[in-house]
Amino acid sequence: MTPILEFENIARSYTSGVPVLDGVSFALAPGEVVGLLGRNGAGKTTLIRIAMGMLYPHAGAVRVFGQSPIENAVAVKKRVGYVAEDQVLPPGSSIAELTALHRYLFPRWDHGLEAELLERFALKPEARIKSLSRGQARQVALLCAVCHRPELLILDEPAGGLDPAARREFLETSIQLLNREGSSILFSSHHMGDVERIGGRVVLLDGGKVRLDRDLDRLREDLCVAMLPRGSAPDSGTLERIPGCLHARPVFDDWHAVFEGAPEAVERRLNDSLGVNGTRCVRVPLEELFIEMVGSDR
Amino acid sequence: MILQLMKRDPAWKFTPWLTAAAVIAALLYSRYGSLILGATGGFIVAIFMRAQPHQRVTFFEAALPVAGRDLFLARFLSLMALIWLPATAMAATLLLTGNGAFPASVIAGFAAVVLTMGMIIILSTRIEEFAAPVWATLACPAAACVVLVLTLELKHSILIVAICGAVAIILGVLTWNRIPETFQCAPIAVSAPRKNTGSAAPSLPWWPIIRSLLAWQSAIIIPISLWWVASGIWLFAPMYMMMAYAQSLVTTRWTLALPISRRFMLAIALVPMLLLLAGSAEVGMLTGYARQGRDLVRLGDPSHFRPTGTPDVMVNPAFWRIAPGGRMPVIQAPWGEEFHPEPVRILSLTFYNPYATAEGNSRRFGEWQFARATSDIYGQPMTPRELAHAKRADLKPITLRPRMQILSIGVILAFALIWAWLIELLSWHRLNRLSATVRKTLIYSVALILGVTVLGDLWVSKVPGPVSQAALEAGLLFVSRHLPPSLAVVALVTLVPLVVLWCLIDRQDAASEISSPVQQAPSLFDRYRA
Repeated sequence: MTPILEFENIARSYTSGVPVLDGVSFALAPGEVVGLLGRNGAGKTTLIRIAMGMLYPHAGAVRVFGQSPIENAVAVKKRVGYVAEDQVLPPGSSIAELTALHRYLFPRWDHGLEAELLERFALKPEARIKSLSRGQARQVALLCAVCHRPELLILDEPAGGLDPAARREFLETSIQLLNREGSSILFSSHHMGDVERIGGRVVLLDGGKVRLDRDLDRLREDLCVAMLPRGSAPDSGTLERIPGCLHARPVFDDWHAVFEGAPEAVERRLNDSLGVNGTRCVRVPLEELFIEMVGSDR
Repeated sequence: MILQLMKRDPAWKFTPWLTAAAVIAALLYSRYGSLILGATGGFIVAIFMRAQPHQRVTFFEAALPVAGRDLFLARFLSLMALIWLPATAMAATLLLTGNGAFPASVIAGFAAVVLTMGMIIILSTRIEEFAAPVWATLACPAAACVVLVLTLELKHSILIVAICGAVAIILGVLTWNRIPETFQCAPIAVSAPRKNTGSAAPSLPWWPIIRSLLAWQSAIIIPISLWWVASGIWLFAPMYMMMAYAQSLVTTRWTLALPISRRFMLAIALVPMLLLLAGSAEVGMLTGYARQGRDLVRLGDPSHFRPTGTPDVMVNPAFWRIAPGGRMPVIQAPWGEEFHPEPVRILSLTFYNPYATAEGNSRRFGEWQFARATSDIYGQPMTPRELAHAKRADLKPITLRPRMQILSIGVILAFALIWAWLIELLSWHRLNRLSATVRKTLIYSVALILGVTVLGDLWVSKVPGPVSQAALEAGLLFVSRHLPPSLAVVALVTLVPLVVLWCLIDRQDAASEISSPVQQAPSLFDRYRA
């Protein structure tokens, strides 16, 4: 099946010698929901802008619906809904004017959905964008992105700056509404709660590369964190050479290492490899896992 | 601490630039008079708006453990430096160079006093809050300019300036006594609900895009540009207009996520500006406004050549000639009287005024030269009196004939398109692959070359007016002479380079990318929101 969105060895940097993206490859299948995770500056927004044809990759290729988003920009954007991290809507325009423009640009615009969302978000069509709160402005951006029922919805930090209730409503609208109909969704977020709620697949970007790419359910089952005394290994490389170790970092007097496999099996493996006892292996929530994968040394 | 606060003040940061501009304006004052003052005035207004005098403190500053009076004082001193350092530098330069000496340097002082009063009025408004109303930023300098113009027109100007100074001092003292310990980020008084709604049923779906194209900055830039192009300043007006185009690229960034072709966006942003430029240039040429104050041919001061009283014949540099190989020809009248033109060397080329006269020439020779000049410029030999009469009867010089009008508009549009291409080039994805240092060096080098070229252009002595404008008109006359008589052919020849340039911009636009965070146009409120 042709992927809806495909990144192939994408490389991009803003300052020479400092790659933001360095060989990123992954794809979205039809109907798939992918959460793009990573620390600040990991390249999430850059990758999304490359998918939207707003940035040229320095190496590699991106295909949206099998087409180049740069060479076939209009055709691609007709089928994509996009909410940017720092979405800027024309401040002087009213919501009605903005939706009128979108209705004109997207023949598949769903008037019923527009009315439903306006009601759900309690937005007045005649309100000007500049008079809206940040959360309301994001709701308008979401409305504009989903009401043409896009085949691919790209959300860059969609719930940033929203309160928990508004965030929940935002995600329910965007994810549930569209994914029920088979739309693919790529979203970036710092909120692990949002990622867990949305489900699907997680792609973790770190150091310009894809550090992790797997289903959320398998992520919870397959990975665990091992905590062992600092003296048990001379450096993180020793741990990372143990089969199944994805990442290791020092945390005060301990090593924290993320391993593939059940905790009991990992404990046995560590005992065999390093000959240490007292290793503690636990399954951790997604947020902890994220910190262990990309957190800095302490 | 005050100095630390001043160092990060936008007004303080702009002061060296404005001071440099004031010195340059003072140096050029004797040659370009009101023209240079107008250009400097536009620059000053732009700087003042960027310095945001309505703003007393930012959120960052308000959160610091610094007393309100210290914050206010830092802001006040920065704004005063923005006014008084350039004014002092301008007055000093005028006095030192003797350019218009007394009146011009006094005007600089008057302007500083009146602007100080305007600035204190802004700072004293809603003193408890972070900022005065934003309209004050526009209204007070505008009012100050009106006061200044009236002051210069009236007889008792010193008295009015003294009153302005007294008002500034009294208001400043009163304001100082009212400064709170800490400023408020919102009005203390509860305001009545405001209607902040727009149209619920727009008739034109494109309205949000059209509105985004019309940034408030354009409302200042476009009229100035149109005025310049109508006045015959064909090189700088398109550059200024394209600043509005650059602004529109920022304000329409939100459309990048929409399925609208870049080609279409380019057209709706650029075509109206080009049409406005062309229309304004045409109006300027048809009404003769483009030639206002710049005679193509006139007699010099007869007292200049005292022994004979023969007036010099001064023609627009567009009608000067190039001396082939730098060898100056001798102009000889039918009766044998001769004239050796004075050479003017620019970029290894030697130019001369073929219609001029020298100290030893007779009055008859001067009249003969004048007749030759009018013959070449207006198509018929005339005396000064006949020329004045013919001008009143709307006699058009060859530079305003239809074929020259077409060529002139073509050149104006070509300049605008070249600027648009340069603007697009800044977002070129291949340029973004270079390191930030290389990019900055490139951009600053281009800016420096342009700045030096512009100043050099204005600076060339012995040539009245900017050399580039004259060279441009001379070039157009040359092209016009070598084209067939048909206007259709002239139009076609004009159109071809414009189409080529358009295609170049279109191609460049397609290869541009966003290399900075998506953001809306910087607004007057940016600092307030920081």
